[in-house]
Amino acid sequence: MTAACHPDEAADRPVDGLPVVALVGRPNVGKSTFLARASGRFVETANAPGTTVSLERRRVHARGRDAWLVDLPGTRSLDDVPAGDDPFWRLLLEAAPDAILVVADAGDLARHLPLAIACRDLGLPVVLAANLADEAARRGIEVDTGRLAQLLNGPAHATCGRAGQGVDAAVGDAVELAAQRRGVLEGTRSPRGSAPAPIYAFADEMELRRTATELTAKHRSLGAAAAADPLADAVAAGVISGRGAASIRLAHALDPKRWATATSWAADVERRRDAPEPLADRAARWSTSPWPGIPVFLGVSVAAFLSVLLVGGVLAAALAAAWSAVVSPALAAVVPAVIPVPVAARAVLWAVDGGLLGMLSVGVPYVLTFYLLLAVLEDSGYLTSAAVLMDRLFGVLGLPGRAAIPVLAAAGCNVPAIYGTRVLRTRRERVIGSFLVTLVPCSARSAVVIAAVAPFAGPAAALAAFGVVMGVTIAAGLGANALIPGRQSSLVLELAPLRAPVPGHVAAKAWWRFRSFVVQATPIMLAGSLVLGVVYEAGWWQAIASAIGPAVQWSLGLPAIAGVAVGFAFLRKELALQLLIAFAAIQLGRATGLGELMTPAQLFVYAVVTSISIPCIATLAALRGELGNRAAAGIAASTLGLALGTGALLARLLGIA
Amino acid sequence: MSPERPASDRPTLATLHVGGTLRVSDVDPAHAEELLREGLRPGAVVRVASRTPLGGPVIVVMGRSRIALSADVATAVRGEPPA
Ligand SMILES: Nc1nc2c(ncn2[C@@H]2O[C@H](COP(=O)(O)OP(=O)(O)O)[C@@H](O)[C@H]2O)c(=O)[nH]1
Ligand SMILES: [Mg+2]
Repeated sequence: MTAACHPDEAADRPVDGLPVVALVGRPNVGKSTFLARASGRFVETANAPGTTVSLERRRVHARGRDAWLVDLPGTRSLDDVPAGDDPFWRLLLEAAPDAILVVADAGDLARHLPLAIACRDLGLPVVLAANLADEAARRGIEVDTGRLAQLLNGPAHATCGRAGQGVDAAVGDAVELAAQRRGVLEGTRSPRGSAPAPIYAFADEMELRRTATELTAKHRSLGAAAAADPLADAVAAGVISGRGAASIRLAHALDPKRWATATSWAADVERRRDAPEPLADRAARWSTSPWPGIPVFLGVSVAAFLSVLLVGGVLAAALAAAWSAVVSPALAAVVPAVIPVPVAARAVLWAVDGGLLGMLSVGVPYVLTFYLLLAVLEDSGYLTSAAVLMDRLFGVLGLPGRAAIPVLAAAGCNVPAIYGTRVLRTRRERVIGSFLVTLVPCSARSAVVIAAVAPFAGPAAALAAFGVVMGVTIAAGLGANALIPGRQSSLVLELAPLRAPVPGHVAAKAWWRFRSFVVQATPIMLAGSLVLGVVYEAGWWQAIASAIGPAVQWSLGLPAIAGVAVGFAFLRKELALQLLIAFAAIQLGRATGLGELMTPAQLFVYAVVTSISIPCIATLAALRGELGNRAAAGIAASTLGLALGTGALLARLLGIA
Repeated sequence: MSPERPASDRPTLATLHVGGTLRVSDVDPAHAEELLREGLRPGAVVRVASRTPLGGPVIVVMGRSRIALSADVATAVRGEPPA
């Protein structure tokens, strides 16, 4: 075969030489559902801005042939930038398709056909799936697919991806056309087909021809290295024709014409009858109107927060109980037998017993619960409604409305919330969003605040402590918005329709994200616990306490061991109080309570400082993974500075320093 | 059709009342490319469906789709009531 002989193709195109069909369509139109239907399995591709886009590729069997079906991120035009930094056409050319299956909304063809026309201009065989036919029918819209096929000069099918209707026929047509094109490339078939009906003006056609000639000649005259033009490369590699490449280059001039053509074609093929507005459409309208949209949003937020807290809490308790009943005793027996030095053995126990338990009782229940919830909100389409409602409010903090969900979710656990900031588009937004997320007290820190303050200074003081933390968070957002260069991106967002989420898809999505969390966080949890274990078991914390004691006393008005406990809470936030009590017991030589150790005012300061100071190590790891070393260090240093500043101010206001 | 009014007199999607319809006459070039991806271009007919509080995004309807536009973008779309 000749097609795979081009070096630039070898990396991207499967070497088995099977024909490739690319799924192209606007977001939320049902591409992934097509892939799932055709291959029998749900998918979740990592289409997060700022991350490398991995294209999901599945082998399918249709009309007696094998082929690859490639799911691409949803896009609104070929030069749109739907994910990462690359325009869509680069992702498409990387997939090197032999045919394109355009998935469109049967109920809104005027807005979906421009992309189909752009794909047709590439010179590749195009099959159109007028998907969501069931939703269109409910709105009183029927599509004349015969007429549509004529206009497009390629097969058109009415489909319902969710129920699977028409999917096999559409995929089958695409596979067949892809195989034919592959046959032509390999020289076993002669080219087929007629030229598509012209839709562009004479001047546009001339410009297309001129650009096509230029792109085709570039490699011959300059060589690949000097050409440095991905479009010329694609032409030279046989991925698309010169005219196809030219149609990408000239998208700017051609797109308005494509929209105009799409509008008239849609009017030509749509058969409308009167139908009452479907309930889903009415609900979608309500979800973004001030009433009842805002109360609904508040209700959903509180319910989300409580369900993560309650479900996570129940799961955490159950897992912790099971762990200490079964695994801890086993580890306590095995580790000292393997490691003969008692101090080292105890430190390792901190790591494997304490660290894994921390993962199991904090990470797993809260993170998994949150991911499931997030997937439900996303899949139902509600997330975009919430984003629009909150856009103005979060704009004050330099964030778009879509930041509302991760920031609220941070109250459960910061770690998934930081991964949740992937819904934000620019790096600036992700940095500010992650910063705010780390300032929101997670359930572990909230527990510390409540347990340290409420019993000794009363519930009102505990609320006041939360108020202080909230005030600091808002002030930090305002500050970050003012200090970090750039401004909030303007919003142009198509609202997703509301749909019942598909359980299999939700599960696949949540599971995919959860796995990457576990892989990233587990080693860090283990290492952090090991360090904590060594410092504790070797008694080094006492040396640290005497070293930082005077500074802690002077700045925060707290006893030295409180400073050490705050510092080590970095490794395990939920241990902030236990550590303090343990340190005190060792120092005093007897068991003691918090009330005996510090005054209510000191406990208040301690709680606020613990809650704001450096994110826990798992959060820090998430920050590093998502934003890189520098931003993670910057955020950690800022939170530490804020914590100390707030603590020192409070200590002076309360008269303890 | 009414005689051409000067551009500055024509309503924008930011000034049009909720429920009002507009035939787009011009789009600020700074936002034109992004808006074209949603089909908002000269000649398109759009309706203002609702506004969010505190000067938040405007929600417009085109065909069966609803699109949210922040205030700066809504100001960029000018037009006339369709004849
Ligand atoms: N009612 C209906 N829903 C569909 C159809 N096809 C897909 N969906 C749903 O539309 C949503 C988006 O689908 P998805 O495949 O993720 O879209 P993608 O963004 O194009 O990959 C999911 O909730 C699907 O279950 C269809 O033909 N009819
Ligand atoms: Mg998808």
